[in-house]
Amino acid sequence: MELNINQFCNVAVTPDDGQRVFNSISPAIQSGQPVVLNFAGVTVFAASFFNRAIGQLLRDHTRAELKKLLVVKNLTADGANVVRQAIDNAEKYYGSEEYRNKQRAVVESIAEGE
Amino acid sequence: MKVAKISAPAIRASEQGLSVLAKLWEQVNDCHFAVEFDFSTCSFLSHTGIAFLGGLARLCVFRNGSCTFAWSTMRSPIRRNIEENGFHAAIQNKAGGRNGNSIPYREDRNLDAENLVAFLRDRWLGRDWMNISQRACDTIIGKVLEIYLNAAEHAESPVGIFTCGQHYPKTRQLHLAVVDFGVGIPCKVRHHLKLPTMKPCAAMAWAFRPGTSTSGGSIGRGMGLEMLRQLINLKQGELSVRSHNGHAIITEGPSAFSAVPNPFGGTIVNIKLICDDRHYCLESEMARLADGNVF
Repeated sequence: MELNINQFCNVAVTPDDGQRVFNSISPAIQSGQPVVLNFAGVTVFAASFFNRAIGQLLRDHTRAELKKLLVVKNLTADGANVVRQAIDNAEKYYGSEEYRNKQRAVVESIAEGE
Repeated sequence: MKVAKISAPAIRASEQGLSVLAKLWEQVNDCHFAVEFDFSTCSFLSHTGIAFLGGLARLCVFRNGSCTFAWSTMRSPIRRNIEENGFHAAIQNKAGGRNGNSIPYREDRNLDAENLVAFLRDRWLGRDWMNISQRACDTIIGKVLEIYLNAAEHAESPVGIFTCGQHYPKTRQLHLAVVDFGVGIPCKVRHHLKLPTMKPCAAMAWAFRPGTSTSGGSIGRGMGLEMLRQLINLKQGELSVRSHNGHAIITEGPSAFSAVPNPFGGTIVNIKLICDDRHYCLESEMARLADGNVF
C-alpha cells in the first residue's frame, strides 16, 4: 500500500491531518501489510503531524515491527529528523509505564526542590 | 455606558514592554465593559504591543464589552506603522495594509495551516531580509508552526491567536510575535501534572523539555517547544515566552526560566532572528535521505 501524503495535505503540520494518515495506514499495519508513505511535494513538517500519523503506531507495535512494515519516500532529511524524534518520543511514552512513572517522579522532585 | 480610558505608554519589544502589556491586561480586566485606549503618552508601539492590543480588543468584545482606540491621539510614525501592517484596518474589520518593514498583523480564530505557511513564507521569511535557502526557510516555518499548534491545541484562547512582526533594518533584526489569551503555560502544566503549587519557572522549564506535553490521553507527544529551541540554535536568535506568571528566554546559550510579578491571562511568544549577510542553508541539504527507513 502506498499513500501519497499530498493527497491529504500540502504541509505535514496539523494533528488532524496526521490523524487522517494514521486512520488510513493503521489497518494495513495491523494486518501486517507493508505501507509506503510518499512525501513528494511536501516540504514543511511539524512534530504534531508525525506524533499522530506515526507516533501512535508505537502504542501497538514495536519499533522493530514498524521498521519492517513502514517505509517513507521522498522525505527531506529535515523531515526525517522530525519523524525520528517523534518516534523516539512515542517509543519512550508507550514503551514503559516505568518510564512514565519515573518522569513524573522527576518532575515532582523538581517542583518540591523549587 | 461608562467608558474607561486607558492610557497606553510606550510599548517596546522588551521584557519591560511585556510588563507594560501585563499591566494593560490587568486594567482591562478590571473594567468589564467599555474601554478606550489613549495613545497620547505612547512614544513607541512595537509589533508585540500591536498583536497584544488586537487580541485584547477582541477579548473585550468576547466578554460582551467594547474596545476602541483613540486613533487621533497616536503620533504620526505609529499611525503610519499600524496603517502599513494592517492593524488599523483589521480592528475596523476592513482589509488594508501595504508592504514595508512590517510583517502584517493577523488574527487566527481557526488554524488554517496552509494559509499560515504561505503567510510565514511570503510575508515574514521570504522577503529578502534574510539570506536563506528555501529548505531552511521551510524548516524554520515548520518549527514556528509549533507555536500556533501549541496555542490552538493547549491554550484554550477564546478569541484565537494574534500575530504581528517587524523588520528592524538598523539593528538587523527580524521579529515575530504570536499572542493568545488562553490559560497560560504554567497553569496548564500545573493542571496536567496535578501539582498546583509548582513554581512558574519550574513549570516553564518542564514545558520546554523534550517529550513533555500537556496533551491528555494516550498519544505520546511533546517536542513542540523543544523544536523552537532548535530554531533558535539554527538562526542565532532569541525566543522569549511570557505566559501567565512565567517567563522563558531561549538563546543559543543556557535558557533562563523565571517567575514574573504581573501575571496575565495568556501567552506572548516573540521570535527574534538576526539578519546577517551569511547564506543559511541546512547541512542536510547537501544530502537527501535515501528512500527507506526512518526507524
